[in-house]
Amino acid sequence: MDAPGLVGPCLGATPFERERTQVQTHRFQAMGSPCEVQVDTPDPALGRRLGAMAQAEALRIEHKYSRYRPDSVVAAINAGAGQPVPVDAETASLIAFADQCYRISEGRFDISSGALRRVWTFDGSDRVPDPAAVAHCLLAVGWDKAIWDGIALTLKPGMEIDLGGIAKEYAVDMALAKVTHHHDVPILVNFGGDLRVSGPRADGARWRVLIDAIEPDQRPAWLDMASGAITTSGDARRFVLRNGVRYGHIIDPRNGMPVPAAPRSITVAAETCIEAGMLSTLAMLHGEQAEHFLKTQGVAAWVAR
Amino acid sequence: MQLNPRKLGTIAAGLSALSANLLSANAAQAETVADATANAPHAPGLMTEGAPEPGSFLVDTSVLFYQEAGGRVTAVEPVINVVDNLLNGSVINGAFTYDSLTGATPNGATPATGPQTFTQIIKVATSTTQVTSTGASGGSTVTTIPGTATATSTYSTAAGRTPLAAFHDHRYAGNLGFSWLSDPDTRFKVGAAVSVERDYATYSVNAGVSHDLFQKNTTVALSLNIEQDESQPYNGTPNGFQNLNSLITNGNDHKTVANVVVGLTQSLTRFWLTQLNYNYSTSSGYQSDPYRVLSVVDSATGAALSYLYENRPRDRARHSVYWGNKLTLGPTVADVSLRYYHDTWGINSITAEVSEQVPITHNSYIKPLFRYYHQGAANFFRNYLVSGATLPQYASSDSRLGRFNATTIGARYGIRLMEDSELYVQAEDYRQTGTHYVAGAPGALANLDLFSGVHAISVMTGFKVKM
Repeated sequence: MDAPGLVGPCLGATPFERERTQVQTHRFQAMGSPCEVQVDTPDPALGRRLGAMAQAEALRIEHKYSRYRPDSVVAAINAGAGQPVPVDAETASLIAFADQCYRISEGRFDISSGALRRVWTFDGSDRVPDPAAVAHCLLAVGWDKAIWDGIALTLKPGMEIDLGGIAKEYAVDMALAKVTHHHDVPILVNFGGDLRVSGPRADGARWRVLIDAIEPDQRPAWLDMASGAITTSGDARRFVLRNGVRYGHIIDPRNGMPVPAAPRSITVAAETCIEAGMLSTLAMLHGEQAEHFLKTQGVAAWVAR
Repeated sequence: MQLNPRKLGTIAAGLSALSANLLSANAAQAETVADATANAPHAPGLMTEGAPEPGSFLVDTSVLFYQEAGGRVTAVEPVINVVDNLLNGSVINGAFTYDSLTGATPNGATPATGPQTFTQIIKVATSTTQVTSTGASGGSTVTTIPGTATATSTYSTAAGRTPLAAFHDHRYAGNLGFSWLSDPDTRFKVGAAVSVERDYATYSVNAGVSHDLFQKNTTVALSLNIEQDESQPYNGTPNGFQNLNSLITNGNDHKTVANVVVGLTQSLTRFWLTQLNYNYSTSSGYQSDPYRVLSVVDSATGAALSYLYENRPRDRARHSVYWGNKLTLGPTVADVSLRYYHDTWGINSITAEVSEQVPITHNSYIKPLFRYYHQGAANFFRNYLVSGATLPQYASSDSRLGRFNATTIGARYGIRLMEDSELYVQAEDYRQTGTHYVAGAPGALANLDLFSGVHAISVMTGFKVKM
């Protein structure tokens, strides 16, 4: 839901402590986050195989959509310098999705807002950027300035897109689809705290997922899930503190400023990871109104302030 | 705090639908790295397998309907093709086809100003059986010759018409292949194929190796194929230039074909993949058509005096060079190819083909195709033989050995029905054009249409699914 590296592993997924069946855990690093795939089988070879399959999908999507790789699709689009850049079908569907999200969020979710993160450095210090720098940056921000015809994307010179806000959740859904396509063993896919399960565990039980404490003195909470996905958006570790005002790392692309009074973290449950991720991001962008937004949208969510 | 789930609001409901759409559209597609080419499984000569995905199982079933104009050949061909991509990178593939062919093909004789009757000696199962069958060019009558296992069979052709001989056949064909990676960049393959008709059988084995270089930007490949054919004509194998109305005493005959292909595939840019193949094949053995004759015509009137079975050389060597390109331009995929062919029978040909796959919606596409083909005649091609002239060493009137042009116009439409399946329909119109009237032909033949090239329409519909 956020650019790679911005959110730490807020969620640690662990199987229910009581050892009923063995779970094979495959761990790797991708998209700037620790990732794990849990396969509910006593067969370590099967666990490795399916884990490797999910990893391959994560790496494929990371490679294809990383802003930092010069040979990625995103880099090719950002290098377009005002020219239309035709994209493949998968990328087209992701851009179409982001385009729809921009519309239904009334501009709050914007894949062209990445440049704003460079003027804001969320390191816990008191560095708040000069308003002129923010205003200058906003000239190259705004999805309404891009031309998207369903086939090719044209950005204004200087404009950039960043699919980091949806790629990780998308990767979770795709990796899960890929593995469940080949095998019906129950699995849990967790990429940096965005996770989804294929269904109940082999013995019919739920998966137990721990939600990390936001503050050191808070106790961890846990969640039992038999289906669907959960994601968390939060500023637990990323903020700027100035004159007692905590500026969270969620930036409103409409004015280039951090969203005031945003919750510390929002955890959302939904059918798919990309859906949960978008809901938690949108809720965060509603700041003070986050709970109200989640309530009116009828979303299952946990909010920490 | 926890917020209780309830009926979804507009934004959440919209997101839910959008997410489901996005994932269902891509779950299948993301399985291949070259996602723009995922819907082009039949791209001829180029990357037909795409990047095989370990652990997937593909089934492609289709039915081809083929119809030649003028009541000639009708064929129905169901095919089932199965590919099992094993997790260790090995691939097992198999295909099975059953053909049913009915109709009539030119028997090789020239048309005439009056009706023509063709009489031949055929073998029958028992000496007392009398068989009558109906051919496209008129009734065919079989009269048994008492006390022998042979009979005379006659059929006739109306004035001015290309003489056709009726036939009906079935063909069963299957092949099996296995390929494996000996290291991440080297793939070996072996395979075998069988095709059996009532009067013809083909058996072949093949082996090959391909090797990726320069981070898989370059692939070099070598493959070999050895084929053995058994020709088992119903009435035996006629000698070259044997008279149609005479007893054939030879039994079956055979042919051996060896084929080698060397290929180079190179990705030039992210959007352009090019392939160069050289193919050499040599065949020796019986290569004539055991049912095809030539008219021996009167040098003055052009009237047919007799019919002789054709005679082709027993050896043939073929060379061809194929240059194919796959260009990815945004969501469209274009295939552009050229092929040059030469053989020792004197045939030279070129083929040029262009097709472009264009998405219509996120789950359907259309792929128009145009192919042009031109060939020169084999050096022993004759429309007829002239009575009293020296008999050439070899002769055939098969239009496929003559000079002609052919154009194919077609289109394929594919739609994704479920997550990992595609329904497709492909239609093609194939038309041969050539010289209909031969100036200087004897007598009446100069005014008769001697071109027997075909015009055919084929429709293939199929369904493929990945499991």
